[in-house]
Amino acid sequence: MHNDIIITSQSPWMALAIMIPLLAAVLSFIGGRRTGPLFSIAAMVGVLVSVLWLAVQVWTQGPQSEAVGGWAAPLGRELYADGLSVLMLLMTAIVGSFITGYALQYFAHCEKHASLTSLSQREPAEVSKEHVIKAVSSLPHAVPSSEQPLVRVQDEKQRAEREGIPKNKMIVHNSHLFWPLWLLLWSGLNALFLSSDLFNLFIILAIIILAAVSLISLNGRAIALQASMRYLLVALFAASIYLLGLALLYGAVGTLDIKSLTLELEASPTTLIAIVLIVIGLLLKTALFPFHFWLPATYSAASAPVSALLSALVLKGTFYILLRLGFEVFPIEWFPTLGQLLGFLGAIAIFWGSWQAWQQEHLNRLIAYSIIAQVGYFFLLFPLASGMIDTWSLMAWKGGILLALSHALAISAMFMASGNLLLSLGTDRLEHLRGLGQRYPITFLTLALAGVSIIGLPPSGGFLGNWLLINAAYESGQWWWAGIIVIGIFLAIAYIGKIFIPVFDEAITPSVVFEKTPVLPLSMTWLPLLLAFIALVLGLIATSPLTLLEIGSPFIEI
Amino acid sequence: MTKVVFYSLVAVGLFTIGFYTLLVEVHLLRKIMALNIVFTSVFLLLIAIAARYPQAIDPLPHAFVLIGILIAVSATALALRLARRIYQETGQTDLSEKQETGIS
Repeated sequence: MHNDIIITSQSPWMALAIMIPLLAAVLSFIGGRRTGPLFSIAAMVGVLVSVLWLAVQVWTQGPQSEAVGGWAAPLGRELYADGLSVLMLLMTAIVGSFITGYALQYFAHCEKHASLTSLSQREPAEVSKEHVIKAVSSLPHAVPSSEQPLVRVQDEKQRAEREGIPKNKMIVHNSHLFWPLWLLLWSGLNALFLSSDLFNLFIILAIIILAAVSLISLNGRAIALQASMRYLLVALFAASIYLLGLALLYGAVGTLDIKSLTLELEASPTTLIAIVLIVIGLLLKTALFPFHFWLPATYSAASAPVSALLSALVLKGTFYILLRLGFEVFPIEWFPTLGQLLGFLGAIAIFWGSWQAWQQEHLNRLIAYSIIAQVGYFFLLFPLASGMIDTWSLMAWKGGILLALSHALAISAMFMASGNLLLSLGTDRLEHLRGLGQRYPITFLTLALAGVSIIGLPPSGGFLGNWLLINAAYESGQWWWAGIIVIGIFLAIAYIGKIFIPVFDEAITPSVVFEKTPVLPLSMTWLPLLLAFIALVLGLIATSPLTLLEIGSPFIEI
Repeated sequence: MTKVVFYSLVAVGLFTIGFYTLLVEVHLLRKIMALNIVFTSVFLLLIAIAARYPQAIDPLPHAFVLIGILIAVSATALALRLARRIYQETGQTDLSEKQETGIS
């Protein structure tokens, strides 16, 4: 932003990237049950086209800004796109398209085999293998209610149970609401990556929170409802802290426009408090240690497409805001301290998240805890890039962002693969995966490829990101960060490996059992695999994304 | 003590009360009310900041507060609905993990 000339854009691509999904969300909500998939595909094409055009424009002309409705910066809310925002938009568009394709099949499959999903929600945690086999073999029938309603139950539900309608008929008919909510979330994310005003970002965060909360609660299970409630409380509190920081900042400076703040923000006690509040609010939403407590329950309770969306995209949204603020807005003399502090928290997150992931017995929870560790990696960018003018700063900046990108691809592939297993087996306990390697080769291949990227082995994007960070650590003389990254890689090998220990064992479940399990549509297994494959080869094709990052980057060229 | 400082201090006090309640109380309705108190305190601070120059009132924070109220209201509505659903499904009015089984 400092060293490039910003071009005032005449073309509408930025506004379109926000408006198309928003319009489609409204239309698919009004249009009723069957129109959701149609509008989503239309919106997907529209967003892909506009984001690609925007990328070409930024690539050829440099950073762009657009005054919405003709109102310029201090009073109006401008949109701004540079290399970083375009890359984030592209990531959202690619991952979002894959998840859209997956969700189409996922919800159709759930509706067709309604009794199947009820299995996974009925099953108590401590079932033995025999129970699972018994349950799996009785799949096509409606599972009788084993649990008594605790205190009071909705009348409708009692009636449903009396008449023998399986309880989750009610759950399934919610699934058409996925589409308007996801489109709203998409619109919010695109707006977030294009916004250049802090108060605008607050509104967008609120939209994203409300959409995400509703998405988590969509499958209607008690545990998902509780998880979404917890997420709502935490996220809204985070938003209020952020707003408190904005209020103080506005009182001190008199503007919330990022460009004006860059020029006018000076170090003073008020701005220090404001910045601390803003950073805490954003960290709470990014789930950096010690603010991660809400993440595992939330992400493991939602349906597979929703977990994939949240972990891949929503987490990166607040991380993106932190990047923008950290490197462009906050007074430069505080930045080394803040950077070291964030890096320190990131390092603890790596150890804590990995240790917790290793201890989990459920695939979904293992993946959720691994996210905490991975978020820790992204934050190592801050201490390493805090030099601002050195070559290694740019290297660390690229490395951290590349890690975030490849994590988005890999983790969504993992959640989708795990969702497939949950749909086929009705369980995601690791010990129940024993000997299923031959039965679900593509799904386990997906998990393995995504795991390679999450661990950071070559040639994945994760490897290149880690490698850039380690190099930056050595060149800047902060070698301890490199040590933490290397230890983190070994820890990741341990917990990702844990998934695969039982898989290639001898099978304990007789294959007869599976004949009654409905076969998943082909695209549900191949889409995650393709995504995991992209994450794997990202390390080889990362040159142009990395060059894109230099456009409008806050670092001074040497 | 000027008006601005007074209202700012009240806002900080309200924020503390809200934050404390949010942490300590387990009943969902109380948590939702606490969250509303937190938001109200921030709005109060914004209004106080709007009056920081004696010559004229700054209108921009007022606009922020209006939008903030919109967000707080819609979020509260969603939270209340969720709390009701949780009560219907589990009979609980809090988030304790009696019901929690994990995805097995």
